[in-house]
Amino acid sequence: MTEPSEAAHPIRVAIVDDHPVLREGTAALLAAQPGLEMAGVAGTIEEATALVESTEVDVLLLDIRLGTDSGLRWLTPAGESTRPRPAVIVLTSYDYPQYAEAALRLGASGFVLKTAPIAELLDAIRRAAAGGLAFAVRPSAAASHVRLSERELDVVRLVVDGRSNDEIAARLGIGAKTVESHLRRLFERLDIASRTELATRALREGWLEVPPSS
Amino acid sequence: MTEPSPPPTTDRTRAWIAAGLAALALTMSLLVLLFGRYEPGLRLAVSGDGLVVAEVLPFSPADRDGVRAGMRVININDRQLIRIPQYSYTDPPPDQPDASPTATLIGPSQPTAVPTSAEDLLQLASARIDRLDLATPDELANWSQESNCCWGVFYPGYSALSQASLALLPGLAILLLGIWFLDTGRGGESLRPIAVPAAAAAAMPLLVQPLRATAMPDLAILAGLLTVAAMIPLAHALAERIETARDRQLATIAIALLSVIGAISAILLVTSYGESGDMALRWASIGAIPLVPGIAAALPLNLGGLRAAGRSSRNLLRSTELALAGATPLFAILTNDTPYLWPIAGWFAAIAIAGRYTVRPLARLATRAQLQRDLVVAATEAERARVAADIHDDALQELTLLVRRLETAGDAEGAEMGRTIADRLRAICGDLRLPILDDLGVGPALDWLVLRIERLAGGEVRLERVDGTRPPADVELAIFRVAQEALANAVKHGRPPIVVRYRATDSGASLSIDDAGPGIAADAGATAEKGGHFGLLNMQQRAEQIGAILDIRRWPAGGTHVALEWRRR
Repeated sequence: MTEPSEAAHPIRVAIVDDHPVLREGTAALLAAQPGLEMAGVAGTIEEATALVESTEVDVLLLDIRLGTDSGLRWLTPAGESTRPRPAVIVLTSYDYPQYAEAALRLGASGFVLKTAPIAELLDAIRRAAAGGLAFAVRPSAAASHVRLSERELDVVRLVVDGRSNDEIAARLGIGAKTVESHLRRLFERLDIASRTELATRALREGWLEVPPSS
Repeated sequence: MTEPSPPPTTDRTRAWIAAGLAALALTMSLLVLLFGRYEPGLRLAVSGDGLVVAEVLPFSPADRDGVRAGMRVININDRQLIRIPQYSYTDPPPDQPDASPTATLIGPSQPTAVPTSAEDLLQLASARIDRLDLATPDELANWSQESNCCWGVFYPGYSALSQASLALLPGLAILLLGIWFLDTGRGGESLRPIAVPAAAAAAMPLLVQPLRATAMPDLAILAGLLTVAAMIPLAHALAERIETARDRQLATIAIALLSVIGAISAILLVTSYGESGDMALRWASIGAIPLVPGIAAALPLNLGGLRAAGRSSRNLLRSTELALAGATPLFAILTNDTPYLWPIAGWFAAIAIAGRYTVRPLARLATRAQLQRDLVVAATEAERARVAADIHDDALQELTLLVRRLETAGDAEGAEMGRTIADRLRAICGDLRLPILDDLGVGPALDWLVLRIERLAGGEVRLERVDGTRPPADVELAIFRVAQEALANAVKHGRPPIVVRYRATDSGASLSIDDAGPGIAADAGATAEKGGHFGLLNMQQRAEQIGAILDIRRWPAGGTHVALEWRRR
């Protein structure tokens, strides 16, 4: 699902990583991509905070292990910020589901491994910029008992991508009203209050991991 | 320190209660010394030309001496009120050694009143009684040469009351110096929070001596009940320091029973007469109130092999302190005669000497050994964390770069190889020092551990966790290491299902691991140590380092239970 960004202006990306060579390498790689623009790099949470305060950042790539500090601390900020907080993609060496779970719980938009193919990272950045979620590692291992129809699965998948009702309707070739009623029924049945909660639960409980044939 | 420490508020409440009881006893004793007096317990009245016992107070010294209402006074102090016939005996002459001696009557032939003025009689009736000679009207009426005179009673108690004031000095000294000594930690760390109850319990038997010395039954009973009451805060504090919940409960029941027995004894001591051995036993029953929980807190009642093996020698000191605190009141109770120094002073001297020459040096040695052990663990953990950080921060990051390069260069196979190596390095890092533990806490770390163990266990491994808060980092690390060791044991020696429970609250954290295997052998601790398998010992050590209690046991129906309990202080 590597859609080109529909936004007119390029996506501004910042990187928080304590390893300078890797940080610069990733920055150079991303700067060369069409539709992306580097907003800056930071080695610590404090530097990251200063960076986000001083310039516009759409997507922040955040490493968890920052020396002895934990990058997850950035996701639970203490003070008030004057600027809107960027979407955060946790970019880490560790593929622990517990990290993915924490990232999701703390409001991150994505979770990508550092060794993942670059295409996967680009896809995650574009999804996050569009308001969607992109988790390469399934958050937590909680068993799911939720059963969804094919159509519901399609709708949920697009909600996770951050699409609006109109976009979903256009994509699936159905009416916006039908999308709305699908969502309302899902909310009711699963006791869900918002689109964000729907997307979060879909990822956490692995709804979208069912083989397409079943 | 591995003792369960009760919430400080409980300790404070107990201290206030104990201090209040001691203050009450002290005030009453001072009032008695200032305004009270020794009370033999009988009232005299003028009857005709003499004095008669009008009333005897039940359970008073007079009652005990057999003085009964209606008896007539023959002598009071040095004043004679009735002249008794007296005989002087002359030895038989030497030539008749078998003849009976000749009796010559001196004075009247029948008991006769000594003329005394009415004013004198009235005055004597209300005088302080030091000595009385009494006879029943019957005896007086049927007097014969064989009659014995008389019923003599002697009341030395006036001096007893002033002597009892001497007990206040050692009593006050034990109370004030005891609180200072224990509260400043000079009596050992474990006695600090219970300084006031311990000092009050040891001082109380001495503080109530003046009340007992009045010989008034109600004050004597009150003295006994105050002594019993002063034992309860100490006993309760000691019982809370017993390691396992079941033994704590048993000790609480024992305290309740002993307190009832002690209260009954305090009443019986006054209201019934017994041999002196009986009396000592009754007082001893009061001393048993703190003694029983003191000893129970010192020696865990279940002396399993695991406990014995893993038991740190630092606990030796604590055990000794608690046992001594429990035993001291008994010696104070036995100190009930002038000059009110023995045996309590001897007891303190013995403690001081034994502490100086045996217990403390031993404990110091043990503490040093434990310190060295703790250093080894700390150094190992630091080294592991450093190696993990090195691999992660350098090798793994550079490998990541390499994978990117290979990928950019179109070498998909090389990139995949790089990813496999990265996975391996990550796994090594995780084994050395799980980053989840530092970033997310012990709860998520247990999630990871349980999933990993489940693959090895070949059956269900379940984690139930409730953790809203995170304990300090060292506590989290210790809990995680204990869980790792216990789960490894469960997989090796036990059978699934294995259940791990973790709970963290504002007041502490608890971890338990249960398996369905045959259960650990009772002497596993000892044999493991001999065989060089230090897993159990390691767990014990980790628990001790954070001041947690580790309990390893076999359920009666089989299955090993490992539980760790840590309380925030």
